[in-house]
Amino acid sequence: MSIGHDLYIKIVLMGIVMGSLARFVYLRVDYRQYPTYPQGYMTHLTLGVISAALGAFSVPALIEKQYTAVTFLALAAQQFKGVREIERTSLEKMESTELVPRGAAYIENIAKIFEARNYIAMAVAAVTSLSTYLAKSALVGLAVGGISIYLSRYVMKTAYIRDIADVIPAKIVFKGPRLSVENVILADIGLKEGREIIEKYGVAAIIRPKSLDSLISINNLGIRQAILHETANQLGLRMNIDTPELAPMTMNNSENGDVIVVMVVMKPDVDAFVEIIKNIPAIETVRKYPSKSRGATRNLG
Amino acid sequence: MEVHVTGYVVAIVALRRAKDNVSSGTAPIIYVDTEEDQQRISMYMSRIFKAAVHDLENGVFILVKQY
Repeated sequence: MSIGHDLYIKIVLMGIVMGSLARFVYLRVDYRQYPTYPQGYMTHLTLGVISAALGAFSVPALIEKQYTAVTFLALAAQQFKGVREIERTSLEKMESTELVPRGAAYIENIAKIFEARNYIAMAVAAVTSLSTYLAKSALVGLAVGGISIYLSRYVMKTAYIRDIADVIPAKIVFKGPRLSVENVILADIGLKEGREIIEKYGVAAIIRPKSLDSLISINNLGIRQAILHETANQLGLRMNIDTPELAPMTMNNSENGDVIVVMVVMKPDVDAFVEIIKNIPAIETVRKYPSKSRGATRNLG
Repeated sequence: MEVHVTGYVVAIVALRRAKDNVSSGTAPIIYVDTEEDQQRISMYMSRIFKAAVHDLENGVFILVKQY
């Protein structure tokens, strides 16, 4: 079966346009300043267009019985794994320049999201060109492409800390040199000067998990590091390289599994602190779902 | 990759009257007479070594390098 030239153009064009649009929709720059504007934009848009083109061309190729086209999709998948690798290495290289590093779990999460976005672009393009071919109409392709971009949001949905836990403001209390929050000792601060600064500018919050799943997830060191990194980057630390006693820290409460976050910030505003923690992504790479295990639920009673 | 020694005692600052609470090890021990001196000296050393000062509450301060 062969396709007319006009239809061919329509199929491919609609696929590329909608696929690239899908990539563009997911290209957001927010407070994290990532991807770097505008160079990062360029890199990811270009790759997005390429993946959209692959998706768009795959449909007419299959219709023309060019089954080798599938191998190109495999090649594309390999390519996008490369994207993940690029993101990972560039973030890892920057780790040493961060006062509070992102942590391996957070980097892995970001890298995976970048890879997935390219697959979304490819899938949207393929769906669009398929529907354009079936309906022989660019308008139908446009509509189906739009719907699939909308639906892809459910695939790319991220959970936030506020979804899995309550964040409660807390007070820092010094018992002699020991810094404690709600009877949990976080550190031993020997210097009087350090204690005074922490009392004056320290903020503390308790992250109380909502369920067994979130208890396990929130106690993961990777997610705790991500919380520290994001909060430190938004509030500004008083810590410097030679004042390790002012370093932000997290500690779990062994009584109930709460996680306590303490940070010495430029402007101690505990409400802002709580708000920021609530809006940090609960990174998917470290989340566990023990509630789906029979043993774990029995253990809870 | 840089290699860091973590959780390493860089130095010990002890009050002279708490002499019995410390004995020699890998870290040098600095004896001071007053608690003010202890605070001051350990602060200087903390800034020099980028190490955190911990109070053991028996007249001994240890400086621990975390990273």
